[in-house]
Amino acid sequence: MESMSTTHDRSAVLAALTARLGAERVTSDVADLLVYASDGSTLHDATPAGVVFPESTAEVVDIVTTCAAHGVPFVARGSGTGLSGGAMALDGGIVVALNRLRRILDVDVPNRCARVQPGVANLAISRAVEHHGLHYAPDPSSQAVCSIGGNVAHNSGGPHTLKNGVTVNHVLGLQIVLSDGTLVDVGGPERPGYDLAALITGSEGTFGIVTEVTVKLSPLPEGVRTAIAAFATIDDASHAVTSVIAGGLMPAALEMLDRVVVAALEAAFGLTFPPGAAALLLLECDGPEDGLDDEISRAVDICREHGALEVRLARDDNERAALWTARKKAFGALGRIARNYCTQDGVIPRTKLPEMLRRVGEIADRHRLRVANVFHAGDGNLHPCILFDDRDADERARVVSAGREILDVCLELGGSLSGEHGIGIEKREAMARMFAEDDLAVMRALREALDPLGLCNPHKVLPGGSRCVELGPGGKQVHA
Amino acid sequence: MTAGTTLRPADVDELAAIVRDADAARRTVHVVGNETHSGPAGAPPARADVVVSTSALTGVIAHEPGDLTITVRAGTRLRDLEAHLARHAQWLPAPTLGHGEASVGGWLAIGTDSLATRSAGRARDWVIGATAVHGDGRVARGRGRVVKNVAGYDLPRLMVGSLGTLGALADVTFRLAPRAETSTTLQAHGERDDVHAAARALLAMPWAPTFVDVLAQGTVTSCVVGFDGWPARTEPLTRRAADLLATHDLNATLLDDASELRACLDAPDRRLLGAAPARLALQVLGPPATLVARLVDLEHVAREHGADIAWALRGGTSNATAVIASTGRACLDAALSEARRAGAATVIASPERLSADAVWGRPSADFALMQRVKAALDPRGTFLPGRFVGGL
Repeated sequence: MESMSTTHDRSAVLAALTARLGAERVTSDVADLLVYASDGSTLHDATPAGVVFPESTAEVVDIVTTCAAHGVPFVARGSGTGLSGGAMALDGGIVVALNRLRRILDVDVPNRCARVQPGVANLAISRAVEHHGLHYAPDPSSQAVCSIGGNVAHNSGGPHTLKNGVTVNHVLGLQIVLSDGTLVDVGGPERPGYDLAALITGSEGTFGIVTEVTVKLSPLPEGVRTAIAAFATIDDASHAVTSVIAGGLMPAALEMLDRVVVAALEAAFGLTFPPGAAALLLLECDGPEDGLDDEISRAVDICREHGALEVRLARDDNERAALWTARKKAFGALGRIARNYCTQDGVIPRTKLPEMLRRVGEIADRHRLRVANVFHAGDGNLHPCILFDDRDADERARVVSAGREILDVCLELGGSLSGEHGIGIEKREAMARMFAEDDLAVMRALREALDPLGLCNPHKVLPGGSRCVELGPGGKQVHA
Repeated sequence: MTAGTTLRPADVDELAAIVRDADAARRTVHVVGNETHSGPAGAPPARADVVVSTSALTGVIAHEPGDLTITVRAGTRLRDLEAHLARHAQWLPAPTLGHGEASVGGWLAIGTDSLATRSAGRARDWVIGATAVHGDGRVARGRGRVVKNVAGYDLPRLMVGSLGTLGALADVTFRLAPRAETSTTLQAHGERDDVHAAARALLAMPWAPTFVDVLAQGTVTSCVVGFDGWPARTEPLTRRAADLLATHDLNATLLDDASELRACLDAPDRRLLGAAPARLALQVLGPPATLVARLVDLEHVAREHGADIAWALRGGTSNATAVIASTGRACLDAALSEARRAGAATVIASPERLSADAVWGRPSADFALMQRVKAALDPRGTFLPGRFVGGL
């Protein structure tokens, strides 16, 4: 069911909330709304009817109840770093900005968990518990700013998810406000029944607004070893990845950068790599000190067996940070060689990496575009970045076509539309290419069961519906 | 279709047709695997008009060793799956349910976690895709065959631990891990307080033992620590663990053959008090640090009724198993009541048939949401109404 609210309904909601929360916490000012019209993807925008800033769970309940009474849709928003248009309010809905709900409510060291509000930044949790030797393991690249609520919505990953898992593996319980205003605690491994916390994690706000998250805390690894290997071909690097994984090693991270990125890094930051390097592979192993040197040296040996031109092993934390510079500055470096870039997020079976990268190159050539590849090689999660100039309408159109074709190849090779950025608005029509109608019908039935009013982040995740959204690549992206 | 016969579909289409016909005729369907019933047994179904066995739905559909993923049919025996994976030096943390006779679908319906839960995660963490037949006979595939995937709702994970009440699994895709080159197991007996303190200290170390379990049988309590990996890691870590145990006045023994002990810890509901003919096996659930006190309270109750009790605590997880040898209803009621005084507990095995409420305890606060999920995926209650939490 989709909402058919009117301008009158939306005004009534905003007036009621302004009366209760105060004018400073409800805005419908055009300049304010522009800030909330898009997320990190900037691929599309939709101006909300208003933005509301709750400061307590009770206020979220009040906002949702008020929206429900007037049939006005709403969408929760954390830090706005999403990359699939998931936090956009379509149909003139209300954005519920959760960034003032940023308290860590409870840290329970003996039980290794913490209860936090959704607006808490991912990294803030780890910072708050590091003196106990603990951390919150999932680490999206935007972790300094992205909110835990947003992480739950998207089931976010990050470079270390190869070993540590994604958000759903670290969520022990949730508190959620359903579209009728009901506040429910859902668990969790400590009670029998359906695993609703896992179902809600990754549902992109389509079941309600999460107001508390109980996360698992993990011990900080005793030691870390990092190496970077340069290869003459991307195929060599891909085969090394497969051998490392199949060889019984479980690196914490296996990140790959291709020739375009290598060149950009050299040009932008003066980083130097061996002549002829077409691919860089960053390997990181962590865990107990015992056996750690052995583990990284096994991985390094495998890289050499696969023809690595050079392998650099960090000797201390400073050198480790220097090696990560290449990975972390990759997107910044691209900014120097292109006015804009559009990051794709697709997944393929790991063994298909060489074929996939060849196909991405062919697609780029056919559309006269340059593509840079920076990706989580260990789990087959690709992030091809299509470089372009947004002032060139023809080029923009070619970017959209190429992006679609890249996703189609992911699906053809047995992969997925998204490894970590989510479906949002960007890929919802593509869902019909990944799933059969019956698959989607079951998902739709679940959604209608959990949000019978159809008010929670409508038009996201699942294809169809009344609204057609015009897609097109826009400005510069940040990477997750 | 006649009540009393067991149907054995050979593929997902036949399975779907059976469910569709039953649903249309308002008959209920009970899907069984190899009926090893390890893990929370659930109350018996109120009525099962049609019994469907997955015993003909077996075998590997796809296995790409380099991708560390495998897709198998739901009726595949765990023993066969393990043997197949062993040939490729790969592994899946599946428990040794029913000595490997349990089916993949039966295992996941119950959702039993393995001994390696602390280090390797729960059973559901390894499920990356599934095809299931839901209440109206609709066949739905969720997620896929890649290890990282956020496309659409996670239907496969929802199916794990749902006791077959949301549909019948037809096939499942798992991610896999390379098989460990070596395994070591230490056991240290001692005074109970020393054992608990040592286990807590081990769990606080960033060493990643595969498991740190506490085993209590009669007056004997021991801490069992396992490491899996390769020699350069497991050997020094085993030494460090033994040293740490020694600081708690515990003398650790490195076991030459730990397969029996590991099997016991993997399926304590079946192995503890092995000779006891009538047994109440409980899964005690709750925050990890609260479990010991609850188990000790449970011991007092059992002893007040003159019943033997043994338990195994899977350190660092939310899960412990207690087995009480008793035939008396009074003891059973008192034990259940005690087990649920400060948290949840489910009945895995019982000397007598119990209602769903007795097996699962009272539903939690999110029960209304569970009912909505059930209604969405099984609108007419075709799959086993009355058997799961709150009669789901």
